[in-house]
Amino acid sequence: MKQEDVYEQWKASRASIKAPTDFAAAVAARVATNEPIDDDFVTQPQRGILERPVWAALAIMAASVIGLVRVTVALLFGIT
Amino acid sequence: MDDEFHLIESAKHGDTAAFESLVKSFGDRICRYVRHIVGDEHVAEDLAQRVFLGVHKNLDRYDRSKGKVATWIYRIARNTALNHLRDHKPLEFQFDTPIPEASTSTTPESIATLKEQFALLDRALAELPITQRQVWVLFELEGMTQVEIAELEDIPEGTVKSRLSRARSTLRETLSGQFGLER
Repeated sequence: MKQEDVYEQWKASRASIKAPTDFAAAVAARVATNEPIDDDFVTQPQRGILERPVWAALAIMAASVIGLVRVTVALLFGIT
Repeated sequence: MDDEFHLIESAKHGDTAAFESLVKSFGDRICRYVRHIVGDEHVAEDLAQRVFLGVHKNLDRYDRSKGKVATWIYRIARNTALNHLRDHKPLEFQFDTPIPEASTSTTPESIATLKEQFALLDRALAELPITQRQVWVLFELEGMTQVEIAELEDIPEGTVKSRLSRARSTLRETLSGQFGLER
């Protein structure tokens, strides 16, 4: 069998995955109990602070500057 | 699209049957999508249920002018799955892709080979970077367009194209590398 055929068959098989038969009933049961959820994610993904590009860039720059200063001081004064 | 919007509107006014229709309409897609992000079937089922709890609690927040109902629900699913991965160590992917009935492989040997190839592709998919896997799943399995994916992921369309291309090429190379299959 050709690579493309295997790939297409595998893809079709993955796409055929379905929800369990009692899925809608399980959702209805959880809705009925008024289960509390953290719904901050509804509009925006929660990101760790270092995953925000600006903060990540600033953190890397700060670490670089601190490293450079430590190396310079060590070279000048022999302090490690 | 209008049907889905009307279901949202009716559910917003307390129509439980409309909400159930919405769950039935998106249940397979959301379960499948979340499963491909988190890997484990049972965790994915629980998260998919939480997606619909989030939908139910936030029906008022759906704004038609900002996008389709499907994009809104997939975004909630995406955020739910990614939040879960952020807080939990990723589980090993538990895929057991069934061999399709219409398969041309009829001999036990060829079925065994196909199973091996499917397992290899499952592993390769699980090992893709999450950003590539998400785009691949949305395009290839969920049938979303590249424009819709760009909107959902909040990334340029060019980025969608390049992630998709890298994902496809990795998956195809997996087959040619291990089995030396011709294109």
